[in-house]
Amino acid sequence: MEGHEVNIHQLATRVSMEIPLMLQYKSFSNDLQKAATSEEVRLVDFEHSLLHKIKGESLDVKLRNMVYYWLKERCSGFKSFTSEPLDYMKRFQESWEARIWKSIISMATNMGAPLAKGRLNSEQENVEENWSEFSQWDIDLSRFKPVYSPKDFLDCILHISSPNYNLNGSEKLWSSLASVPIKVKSLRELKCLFGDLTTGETHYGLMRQLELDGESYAVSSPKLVHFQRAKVGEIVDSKGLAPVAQEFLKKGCPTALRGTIYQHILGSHIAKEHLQYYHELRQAVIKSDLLIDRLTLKDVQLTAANDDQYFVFEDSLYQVLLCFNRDVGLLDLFERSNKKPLTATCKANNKNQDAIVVYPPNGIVPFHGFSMYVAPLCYLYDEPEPLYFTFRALYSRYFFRLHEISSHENGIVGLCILFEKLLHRHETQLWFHLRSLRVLPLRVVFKWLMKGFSGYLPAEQVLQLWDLLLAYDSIHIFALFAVGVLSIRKENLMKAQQPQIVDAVLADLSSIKVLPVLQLALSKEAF
Amino acid sequence: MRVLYCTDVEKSVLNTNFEKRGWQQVGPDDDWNFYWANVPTCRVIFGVESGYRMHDNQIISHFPNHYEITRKDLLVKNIKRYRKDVEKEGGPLGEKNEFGKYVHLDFIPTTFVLPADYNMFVEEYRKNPLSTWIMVKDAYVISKYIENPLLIGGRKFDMRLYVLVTSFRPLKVYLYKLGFCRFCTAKYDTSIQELENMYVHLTNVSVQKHGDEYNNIHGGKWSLRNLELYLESTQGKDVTTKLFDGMKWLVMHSLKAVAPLMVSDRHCFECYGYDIIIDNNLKPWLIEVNASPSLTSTTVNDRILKYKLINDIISVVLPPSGIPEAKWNKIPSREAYGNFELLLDEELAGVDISNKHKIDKHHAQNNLPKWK
Repeated sequence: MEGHEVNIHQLATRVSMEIPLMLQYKSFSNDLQKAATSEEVRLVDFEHSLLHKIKGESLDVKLRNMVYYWLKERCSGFKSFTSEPLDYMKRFQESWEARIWKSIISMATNMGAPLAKGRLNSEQENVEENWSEFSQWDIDLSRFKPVYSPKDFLDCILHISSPNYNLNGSEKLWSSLASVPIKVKSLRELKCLFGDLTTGETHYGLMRQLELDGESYAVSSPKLVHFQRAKVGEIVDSKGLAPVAQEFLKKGCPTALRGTIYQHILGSHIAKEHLQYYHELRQAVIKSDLLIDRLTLKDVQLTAANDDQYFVFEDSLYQVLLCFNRDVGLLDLFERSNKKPLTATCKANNKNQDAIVVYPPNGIVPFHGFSMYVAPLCYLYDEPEPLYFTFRALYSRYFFRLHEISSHENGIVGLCILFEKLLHRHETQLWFHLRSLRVLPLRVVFKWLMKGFSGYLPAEQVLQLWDLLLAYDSIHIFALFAVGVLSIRKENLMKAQQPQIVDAVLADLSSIKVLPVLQLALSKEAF
Repeated sequence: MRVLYCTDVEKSVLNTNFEKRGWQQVGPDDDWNFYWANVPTCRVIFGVESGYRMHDNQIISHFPNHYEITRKDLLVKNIKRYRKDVEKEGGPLGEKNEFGKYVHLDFIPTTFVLPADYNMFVEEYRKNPLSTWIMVKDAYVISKYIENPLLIGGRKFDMRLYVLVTSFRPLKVYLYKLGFCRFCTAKYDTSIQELENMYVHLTNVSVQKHGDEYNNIHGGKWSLRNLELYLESTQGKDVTTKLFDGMKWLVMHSLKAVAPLMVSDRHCFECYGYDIIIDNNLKPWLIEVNASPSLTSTTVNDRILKYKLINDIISVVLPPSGIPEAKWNKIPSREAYGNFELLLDEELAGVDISNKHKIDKHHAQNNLPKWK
């Protein structure tokens, strides 16, 4: 069992201690003080009149939301996230980190470049001037290669085995990860969790699809559904309560409201502090030159810049990702993950002052395709700040677990096991067919899971999938969806007689629609 | 009966489509049913000297006098004339604002045809000496440069829409849903030195291809659907719908402007490439109309798109029998539309052609173009 039950009093104490550390707290506390000194708040009836004032200014909503954000990030089901309980998982993660570190060092050595250095004044001016056009920067990246790809990471994961359990023959056949004791949900449990998707009620995403395909005439009253969703959405938006916004997403979101609804759920509505925080990160990019930036530039070049959906956002991605590399606030993540940041020695002028520093400053080494965590969000925001903080919140709530080895049920290993179990149990015929071709289904879907399907599905479909990720607050939707994709292509997969054909059948997901596929996956008989 | 086709445009997207339908290729002198012809060939076929008379089972991919819409000077002249006609009728469609601009029909950048409009140009130039003007291909047309284009990711783009006309009288127009935006590789900057960097200002792919940074995976092309998703997400549904309606409006009225002049030959259909620029108020401007939009594929997706385009054109222009037929009423079933959407069929709409402006008045009152 992971985590431990938290006593409600302890929890309250922690909340009241940690909420003041949140970025938007200062604005909130200023507003609160202003409210307290207003004429409407009277000394005679202080408590009542203050509360009344607080409600009138919607400050209670802000406070409730802050508690909600804290709970979502730090706690799940009133259980604290603790660090990794399994020693051998720790060891796997450590050796994986050692490999990454080694390749970064060898890259630095090959390039003859330091890991980080300050920029000269002239360089700083140059960077500042060209802030919004890194894509026009003339930097030679030809010798840079991504440090690791999803495939490398999967190879590492497939070597995980528990020293406490010997697999018997048939277990080996069904899963490479069968010995890892992560409890995953059954289809029955998933059906409960995602029950709202299969009630037969209209979902906005389905309606929109019909409309875009010009088949809205086939539906009885699409206009009405649109109108209704848009109206409800506007009310949800104006109230600004995060849990209500989350609930609203379950039935799909009108495109025009998605940006702001995400911000409500993720706490990325921009306060003064956010602007300042982002500005400081931007200054850090201007002042310092990190070797890891080249990896980021290279990754964007290899992925988004070559993608017909995202190439127009190339510069927005740089503005987010270069700042991200320097965001030391993200080091908090290490408190609740199995990762340890890599550290380097910082050479000082005085030998005795050499210091150990985390590298890169945010502790996160991007893999090949990392930019895909940001790319779909570029459709939602014009400005870098809301884009940055929305991405940052999504990353610290969900995505960071997708590239670390841990026994957390929301981690990538857990997702892999969930996927294998679901497929084995509910698409047994397909499973055995693929195994008879010596295809490990996980190999095909792993990159989808690791990048949340971004870069594989059309942008709008990725956003619909991420809507559900937020709505149900469950990353397991990715594994369920992966099973659905295989199910929907089952006919062609069953015809495949060679591994290459399997790859070919699953190479292009551009025609896949999220909702029907999920409904298909959820309609399988649970036994 | 096997359909015999002829083409002098050697593009694989054409031939693969014809072959898929089991058609047989013949030479121009043979008895063809379906001719995908280039403009010079059409000129010869329709020319008086050729004396060629098409029979009922022949259709061809151009109208005889498409230059009324594709030559910029004529297009401008026709639109100006159309606006005056509409204004004379006195309906709300011809309404002008306090600056003398048409409220509903102002969709081409201020353009002058020289030498006829020379004095007007000088007058306009004196009013705004800082404006940039560009000479269009034909050196005698001078057009005001859209100085406030909509930028996405800091980049300028123009749009390419495909419009199929199967008849001008009555007007039958279809708009292709798979249009795209063409992006500049370089960043947009209005400074004078940047004006010299031609790649920033000309988004035409054939020019862009010579820029260093041309990407042959996406070719700088972004689908209409992506544009719609982006605009709806960042700017809201209403303005996005208004923009897309505005583009349909512009297509419609540019065609209505030339319809009376077109030789409405029942053997003809034509696919136009509309080049449109959107300004930062989300207003679309018609830049030019091309009668032979490029069928060269720059990327894999481009090839798929153009293949589908040809497929859907054939599907709309053929009667249910699958055999070209000039006497057919040209009302295809919905299933035949493919990715086309019907913008207007005056026959279906029950419009009396001699009296068709009535319907425009009705639309102008609603302030929203609804043609279906």
